[in-house]
Amino acid sequence: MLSLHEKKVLIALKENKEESVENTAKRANLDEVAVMRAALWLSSKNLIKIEEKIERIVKITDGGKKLSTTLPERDVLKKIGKGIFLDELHLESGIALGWLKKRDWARIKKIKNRNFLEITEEGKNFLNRKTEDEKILKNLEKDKMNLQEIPKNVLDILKSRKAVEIKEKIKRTLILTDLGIQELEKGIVLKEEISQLTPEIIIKQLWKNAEFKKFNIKTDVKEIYPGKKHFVNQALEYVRSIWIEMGFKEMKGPIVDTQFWVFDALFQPQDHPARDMQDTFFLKYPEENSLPEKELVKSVKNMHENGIMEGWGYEWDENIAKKLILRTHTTSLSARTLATLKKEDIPAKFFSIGKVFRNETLDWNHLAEFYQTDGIVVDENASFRQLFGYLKRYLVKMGFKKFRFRPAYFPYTEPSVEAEVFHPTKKQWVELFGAGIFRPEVVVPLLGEDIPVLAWGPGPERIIREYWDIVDLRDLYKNDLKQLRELKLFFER
Amino acid sequence: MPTITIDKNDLLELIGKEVDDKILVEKIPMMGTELESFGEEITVEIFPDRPDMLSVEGFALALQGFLNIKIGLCHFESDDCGYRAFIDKKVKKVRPDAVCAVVKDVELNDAAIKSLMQVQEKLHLTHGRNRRRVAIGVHDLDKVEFPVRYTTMPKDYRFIPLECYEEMNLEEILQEHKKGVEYKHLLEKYEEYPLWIDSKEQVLSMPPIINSEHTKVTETTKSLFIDITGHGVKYLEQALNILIMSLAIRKGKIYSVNVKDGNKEYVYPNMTPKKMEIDVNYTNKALGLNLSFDEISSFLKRMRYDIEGKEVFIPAYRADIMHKIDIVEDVAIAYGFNNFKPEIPNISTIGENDPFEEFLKNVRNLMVGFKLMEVKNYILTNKEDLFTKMNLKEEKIAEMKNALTVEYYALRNLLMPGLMRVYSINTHYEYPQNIFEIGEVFRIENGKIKEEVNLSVGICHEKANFTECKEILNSFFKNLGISYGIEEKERKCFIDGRAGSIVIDEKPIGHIGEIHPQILSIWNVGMPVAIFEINLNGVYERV
Repeated sequence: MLSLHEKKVLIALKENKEESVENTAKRANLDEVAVMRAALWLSSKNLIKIEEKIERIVKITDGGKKLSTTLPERDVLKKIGKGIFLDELHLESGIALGWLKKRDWARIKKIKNRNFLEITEEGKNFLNRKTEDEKILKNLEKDKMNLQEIPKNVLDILKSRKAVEIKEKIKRTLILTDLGIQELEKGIVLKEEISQLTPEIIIKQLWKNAEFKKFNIKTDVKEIYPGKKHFVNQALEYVRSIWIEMGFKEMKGPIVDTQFWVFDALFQPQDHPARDMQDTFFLKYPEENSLPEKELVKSVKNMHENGIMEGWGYEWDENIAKKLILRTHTTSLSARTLATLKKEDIPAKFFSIGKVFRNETLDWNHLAEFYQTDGIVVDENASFRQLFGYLKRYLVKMGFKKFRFRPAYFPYTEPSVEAEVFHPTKKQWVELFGAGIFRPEVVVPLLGEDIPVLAWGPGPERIIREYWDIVDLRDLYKNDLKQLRELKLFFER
Repeated sequence: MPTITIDKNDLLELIGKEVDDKILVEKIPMMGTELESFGEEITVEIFPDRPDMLSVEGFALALQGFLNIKIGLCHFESDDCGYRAFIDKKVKKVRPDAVCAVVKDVELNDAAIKSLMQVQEKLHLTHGRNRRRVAIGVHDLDKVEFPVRYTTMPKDYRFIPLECYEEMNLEEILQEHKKGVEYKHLLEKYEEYPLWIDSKEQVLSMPPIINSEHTKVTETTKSLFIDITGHGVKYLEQALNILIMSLAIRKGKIYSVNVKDGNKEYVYPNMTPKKMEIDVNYTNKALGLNLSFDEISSFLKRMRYDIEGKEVFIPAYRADIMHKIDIVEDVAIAYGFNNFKPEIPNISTIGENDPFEEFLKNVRNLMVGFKLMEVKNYILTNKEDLFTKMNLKEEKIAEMKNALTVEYYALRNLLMPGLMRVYSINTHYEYPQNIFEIGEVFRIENGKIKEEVNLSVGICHEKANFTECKEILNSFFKNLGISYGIEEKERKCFIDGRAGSIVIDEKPIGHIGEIHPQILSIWNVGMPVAIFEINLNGVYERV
């Protein structure tokens, strides 16, 4: 099957068997681009041959246009008359003089130690006659010329004076092959071709007397960009789905919270290094907030001072507990949730996903704010062994195959465990997240009795980083639109 | 968390048995310490609840048990040789507590000296809360004339501090000596400074700053006097017991010191183990195991406890046993974390998203349907972005007291400046750039922080304008089934006459407008931008 354009090109070649692209375009009444496109198809079907010749075209430059109005040496030639002292000419450069000599139009004599310029016979000849290069320049002003049309010596002069430039142009000739001639002999019927299907064509059924133009379906198309959720949020949605599947209910709570909920309720002594200025953002304004009900505060104070069997042995200060900070972990929400639980709510499972903050200078491995997710299981019969059960399920859902658990330390859990996964390229165990059972000193003030509370707090940034191969953590939130447009979607692994 | 370095040969000598590297690499992380690097020198991270393992000897003691080479409690006996110390009443207001002890005939080889210096340094830093709570001084016993006293002296009192050649007065030490400058914040506010002085009026140390040159420990020193001062006898004793344990393992003989504090007399060190009853049921319930008393006993012995009758004897150097759950953890460690068979119990709970989060998810889906790209800016930002660069009047917002960076010290009250920031860094990419953000914003209401979630939508391309922006807003509300209005409202960041408040039931919940070209220039954005921002908590109330 030949397209309409292909047919038109074949017919255009019929008379002379071969034509330049330009001529073919004129004959076929198409533009040159359309002719070439059709020609390539025809040649792929062996109906024509495309012959390519390189043509060198000479074009006048801006400098050449100036020279064409008048050459500097001709300027001087006109002024010589019967001869003239050189200094009277006030020449700005030696160009004119150089060319006068080169062309043998003038010579210099010494008169009383002054240079005197005298016209030659050759000079007189050319006073009213144009040189070859001047003629060519005049022609070039009108139109470009083929390289062959200009004698070599003239071209050299023009090139040396930067008056012309030479460009290469590929000239293509379309030649009918025997197969093409046969095709023409079979007779070609031109039929209207439909490119874009329009409502008019459909309604008036014009397509019945036309042919559909074939599209090159392999051609590259323009890139377009969808609206997308931020990739971190895509991953967080997945993390959320793991919790939901495992029967956890979401807890929410403040980002700006009192130290009471972030530290004190979790049995972290007030002089604990983690509470130091360098790790925690303290609020300048507003500086503090009120504490929860007196009973709870008293009970937490007592835990810090005396513990159940033994406390930290210092005087707990309510004023420190009141101070507002940006939460350093979402475990504050677990504490808040436990404080609201009633006996009949147990067993219960909760999770949270939220921003946490560390007062650190940003670098490739540290952010001042990032996400944490926390889960707790509150169950009279919960045990350390069950914690491993939950952790294993969680890790498998996160796509990890090789992992281990090792002892760890967190101020508010006992026993504590660190989940580690085997990094296949680094060939070593890397920490993934901490877990444990809340200490009785944490649980008793919040729940009123010592009921086991399993807890773990994975940071989702790790899987986000690995999934998209992001080395620099800052790249998670740089909002580079190219990155956002091009990053692949998050899929469960 | 602190790390210590250990010479492998020294460690193996202390353990008393050749152990394969592979086993060490496998077992050390499972003992409750983290292996940072392994070679001829081993680096381990010690958890803050186990200061006893900050000493190489303490670490070796634990590992010896964990590897089942030598188990049970290590006993440390002390003799009384009549050493006496007095705590002066004057020091009670400054740095009230002190304990001390004497150790003789220590084998102070290179490894032992390195370990002694390391444990001192690490104890100071962590357990000692950078010398505030606990500071340690170690002296050449031969230079000390008993009885010694812990007292205070005026600021012009003089002695030669360690590694110095001439006397300095106490104030000079504080202001000029390297250690003085480092720790002067611990003493500066007092009239007099604490000192240990012997019966010949020789200064031993100026806690918690520096020792004296006179009692300096050298390679030839065999016997030591240890002073520990600070706040809280409990912590001081823990530090002392850790040092005593370490030196006793280096073959030192321990001698007690009788310390007179006011009317009371104490004898240090007290290495008597604490006792706690073993609760088999509690242990099994907490761990989800079914261990017998004997099994628990043998696990605890491997963790260097002793068992007598129904009681577990806790070594005096352990600082972390506050509750029976702490014993349970040691049972679990000895049992082996990876020997637990993971199990998920059959309890029925129902998974549930927070309804507001569910709403946010729907809004996010809708925005994506408008072909908007979601961006995520930091919550922490600065006033210049929020106000100056938006030409908005500054309002009270939540600010940090101690932010490390000048760029991130305030909590955003609007998302819009974040969208402008996104536009300003993406000018070299293709337009249209139509984006949205959903995120927390913080306002101050009656002196309290109000945390809410906003939605902001920005459109930016050659023909972006108010109308297109309003189309999205309009469709947003239509899809939520909420009727809204727009009231004329001038706002400096928008072009006058192309800006308004977004209102539901006459209550403003956001704003919309075309960004003023002056603002666009500030952010170096050469394209028109139209933005709306609404409070999603306010919208959610109407859904």
